[in-house]
Amino acid sequence: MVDLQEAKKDLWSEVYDNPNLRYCFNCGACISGCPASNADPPLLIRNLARMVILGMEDELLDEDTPWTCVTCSRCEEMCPMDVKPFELCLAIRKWQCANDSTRIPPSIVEIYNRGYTQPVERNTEQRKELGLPEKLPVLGEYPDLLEKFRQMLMKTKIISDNEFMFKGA
Amino acid sequence: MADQERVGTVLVVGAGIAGIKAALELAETGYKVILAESSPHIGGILAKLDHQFPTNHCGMCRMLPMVGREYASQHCMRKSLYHDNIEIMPFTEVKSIKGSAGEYQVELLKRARHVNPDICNGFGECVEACPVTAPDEFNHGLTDRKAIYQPVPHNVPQMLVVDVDACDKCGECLKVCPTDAIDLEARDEIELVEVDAIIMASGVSLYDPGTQDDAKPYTVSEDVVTSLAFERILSGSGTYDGEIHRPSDGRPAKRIAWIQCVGSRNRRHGRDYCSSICCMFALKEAVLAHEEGGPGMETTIFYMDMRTFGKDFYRYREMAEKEYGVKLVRCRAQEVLKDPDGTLTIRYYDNRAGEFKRDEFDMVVLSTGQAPFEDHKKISELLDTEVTDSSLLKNEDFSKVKLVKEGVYICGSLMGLTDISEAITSGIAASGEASKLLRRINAPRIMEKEVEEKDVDREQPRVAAILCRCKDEKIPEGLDLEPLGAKLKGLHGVDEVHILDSLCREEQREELEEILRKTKCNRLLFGACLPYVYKRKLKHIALDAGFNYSLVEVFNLLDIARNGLSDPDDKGWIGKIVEEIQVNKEKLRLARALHRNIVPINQSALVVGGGVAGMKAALSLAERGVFVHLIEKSRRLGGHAGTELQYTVDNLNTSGMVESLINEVQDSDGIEVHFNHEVARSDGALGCFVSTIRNVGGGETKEIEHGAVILATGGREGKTDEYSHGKSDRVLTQSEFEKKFSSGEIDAGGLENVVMIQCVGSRERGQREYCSRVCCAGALKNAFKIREKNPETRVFILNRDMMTYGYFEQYYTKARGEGIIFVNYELDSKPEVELGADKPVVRFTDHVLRLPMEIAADRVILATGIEPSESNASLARVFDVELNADGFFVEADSKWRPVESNRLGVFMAGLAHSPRTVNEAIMQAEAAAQKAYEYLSRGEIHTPRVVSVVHDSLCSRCRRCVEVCPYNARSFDEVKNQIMVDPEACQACGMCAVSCPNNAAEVLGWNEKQTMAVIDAKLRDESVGAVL
Repeated sequence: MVDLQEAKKDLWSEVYDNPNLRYCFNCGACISGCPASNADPPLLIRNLARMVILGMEDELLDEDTPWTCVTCSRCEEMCPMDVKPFELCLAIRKWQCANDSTRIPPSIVEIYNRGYTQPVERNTEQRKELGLPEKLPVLGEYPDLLEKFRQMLMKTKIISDNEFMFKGA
Repeated sequence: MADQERVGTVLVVGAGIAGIKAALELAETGYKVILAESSPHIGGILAKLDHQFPTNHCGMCRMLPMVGREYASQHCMRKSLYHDNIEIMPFTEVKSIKGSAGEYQVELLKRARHVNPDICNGFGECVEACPVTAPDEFNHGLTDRKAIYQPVPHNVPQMLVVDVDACDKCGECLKVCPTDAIDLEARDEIELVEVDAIIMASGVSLYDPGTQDDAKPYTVSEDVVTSLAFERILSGSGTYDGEIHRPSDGRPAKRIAWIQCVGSRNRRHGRDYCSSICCMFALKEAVLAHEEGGPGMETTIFYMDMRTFGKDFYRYREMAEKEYGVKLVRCRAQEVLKDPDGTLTIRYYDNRAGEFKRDEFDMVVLSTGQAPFEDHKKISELLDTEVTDSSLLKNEDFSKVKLVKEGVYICGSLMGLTDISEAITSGIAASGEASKLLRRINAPRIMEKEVEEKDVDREQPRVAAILCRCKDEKIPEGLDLEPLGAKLKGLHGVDEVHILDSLCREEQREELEEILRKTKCNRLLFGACLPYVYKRKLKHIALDAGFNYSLVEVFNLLDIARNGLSDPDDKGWIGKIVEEIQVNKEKLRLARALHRNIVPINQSALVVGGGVAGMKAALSLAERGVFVHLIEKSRRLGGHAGTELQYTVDNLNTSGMVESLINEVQDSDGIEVHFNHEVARSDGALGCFVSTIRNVGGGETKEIEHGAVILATGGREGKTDEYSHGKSDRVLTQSEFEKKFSSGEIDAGGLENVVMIQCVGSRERGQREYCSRVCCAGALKNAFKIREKNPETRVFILNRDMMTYGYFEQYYTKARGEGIIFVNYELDSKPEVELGADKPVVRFTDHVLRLPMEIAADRVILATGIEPSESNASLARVFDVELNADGFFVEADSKWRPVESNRLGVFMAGLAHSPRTVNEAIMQAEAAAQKAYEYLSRGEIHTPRVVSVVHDSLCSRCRRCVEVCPYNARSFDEVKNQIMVDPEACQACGMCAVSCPNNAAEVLGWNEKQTMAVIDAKLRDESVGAVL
């Protein structure tokens, strides 16, 4: 039983800086064609919006599904209330990280280390065969820029609050 | 200055059903109407629809006048409209409007049709010859048409038009046209008209999914069509003769989906409104798909809120679901997917099951509604008036039809997309407002001239045949009627034969009148063309010459000649015409002159109920010089709105409005209020009712004579003992709350959480089985009022469907934006209220998360809907009118005659009809008053000649005829022990004659002798006889 007396009335403004959110009338246009709604458990952005509106803080913090969004933004195309569900999904991720450091994805450490997520430096052979330059002009190739980039990241609240994760990196 | 001699004239802009209805009302009240329509045809959207719920039939003709039907147009309205007082101007736009009420000068732009309808014979040879094709708008592009075409296939006469954008001026049509009716160089013309008032009925543009981005994920295949296109597919005059096929490959469609709110309820695209009609439209189409598509049909409607807010709408939904198996899914689809074989797939989230599903369909119908109001800005500039924040034209407070500019009224979908019943009601109401103005400025009315009829009752029947040879008109060389004339001269029973060049031309009128003056005959048989168009005109000419209406017949000579010419093997066209004349001659020979009676009308009205609708109707009539007896059973005026409502959701002051109405009624010399009285008995008919009213306490009675009745008995808030109502002062109904809150008895400061529960005791078997229409907007209204005083209050509205139709949608949107929480509940999982020591606790299941939730509420506010007045039952007996299963009065036709009862002269308005908002009740009251005025203003009624009668000596008093009469024209008088017929109510349909076992019921002009003679005449013909 969810006791709405206990619910956090203003959660919506804390999570998502878009007043359109509250116009949501749960029509389902965002979820009915969502690719991540095929995941198990499905991403149901409409339900996440509902949790935010109702102020169900604990339940929202426990939700893993925002992380399955594939950022195709089809929901945004069809939302009649301009809720921008995709933006909401990102906002929920951010909010979760701010409130629970275990939510911070390990890929952030990778980005901090390398300057980018994907290990693109591996296919040098194939690149050579195709006549492409063997090395990509990625950030890792420029140590001074990478250092600047790390300093920038450290200025963001979530990363500086959780500095320990990047120690020794 | 307006010309003193000019009769009162009104310009009606837009010839959809609302405009047509407004025009007909004014024409019947004796004013002249100019009916301008921007498209080349009249009828608007309705011209495309074959079926309307609840009967699923076409009933357009039912809006035609019921009284004086011999002289008014009696006709299939889908073909066209004819009325002596209405000048129809198709393909005409308003260019400018100058002046003021009583003297508007309007510039009309008459666009060139390029085909002269007066001489076009409608054979369509030009259409065959035209090499250019273009998509046919009438069938929504499902079929093609030519550049020269007939806009509406079922119009009579054929009104061809050239689409100048498509036409390449090759001139092929000119070559084949036998009558030189085509002029490709014709230019638009300007005509200046002077009118007293203007009724705007130009409708609203519809949302076009083909041009809008937000519909693209749906419009993936030819088999995805709009609801209007689907209507054309269902239509017998449509694309597949009424069978349901997929447009892409013509295969039968057996699985059909509807997607609701396409284009509507979309704040992001600036369309924050509900199009009001689409839910019922989709339900109707789904039901029709089952009826037309036969077994194996599967239908699914994807919706958000199923808005069945109108009278009997919810029952229709239940019938669609239960009897036809129409599946309703509450989910807005994101897209339609097309498989390689053309199958369409819709994926949706099934809330009840909590899982995604995929359904396959052969066709998908997009329930598209109105486009945003773009034309309104233009109209407001034309009228030099304002638009509202919602881009609507600015109305007077509480009036839906009266603009802030005097002498200009609106009706129909210009107010926002409306259903038929609202369109018709608004059309009548707008014409009522116009007629009030016309009376105020003393505009003259068209008077019917009385012509003395020659008394021929004792004469031998003598028939004159008057034939038109159609010279220079529809037949190039004219019909050579001389051999026919010679043949007819020898025919027994035809005493004179006259052949004229062309009966339809004004120049021939004198010649015709001369013939009628000189003839020794007393019966006339006209052979002309298009009886639909010319029958009335020819009969009128004959009438003016003193002939009896029932001794004049008109037959379609041209059509017979045309068929005969193309079928030379048969007996030839002359033979066919002779046969037709034989038949008609027999009918005329045995016809009796039927006479009409003139019944004086008592020019006063009885209005039952002193609520807003009753008072408004009374004032509206009194303003036009009709004396009104206003019967009120309580000791005060004001009714439900006067005691229960303080304000509207639009923030209008209801209580103030009611107060000023009460003052107006009490100050009016034309209204006598009978407080504390009820109607005990009523006899008589339209124009001559005698009713007995008595003191509610018993005792003293009074007799009142009056010409018409308006039932405005009102209603009241429903009662309930659900959700612990009555057990705690924290659980109240909406109006209990509204009163206590506006008086300050309930302090907003103490309200932390408020829970509103909708549909209490409503839309449920054994309870009020209908939607009360007003409660959703009512809940929003009070939620706003609470939050106005205490923005911290959390309001929850537990509902089954938010019925915020039309522009109420904006309030629903605003409420969500403010943080008001809406929860849907289903009948099988209603919320629960538990009274605790302190605050009541409300438990419910959130429909999105499917989780049980609870909240301690400072107040639980119940929307209990509207109940009909308990006096309806006795009034139904007194006035011999019907009540529906819910206790509201039944209209003569729920779509086309929405304020008339099935008894002529008895009208209804307000909650007596069905639950509705104050504005809507006022509009209905104006409409009911206008309907009553239309009859009362005549001063006398001329009963029709062709009516049904009773031969009392043959009558066995079995009363079958009383039961079958669809117009309540027959009744049994216990005292006289006789069947009585009300000649004004009788429409001569013949049901009584068919059902009578003793031939005691007869429809005059259709007696058995005549009918047998006609059959004999037909059989005397050898070729027919041989077959039989």
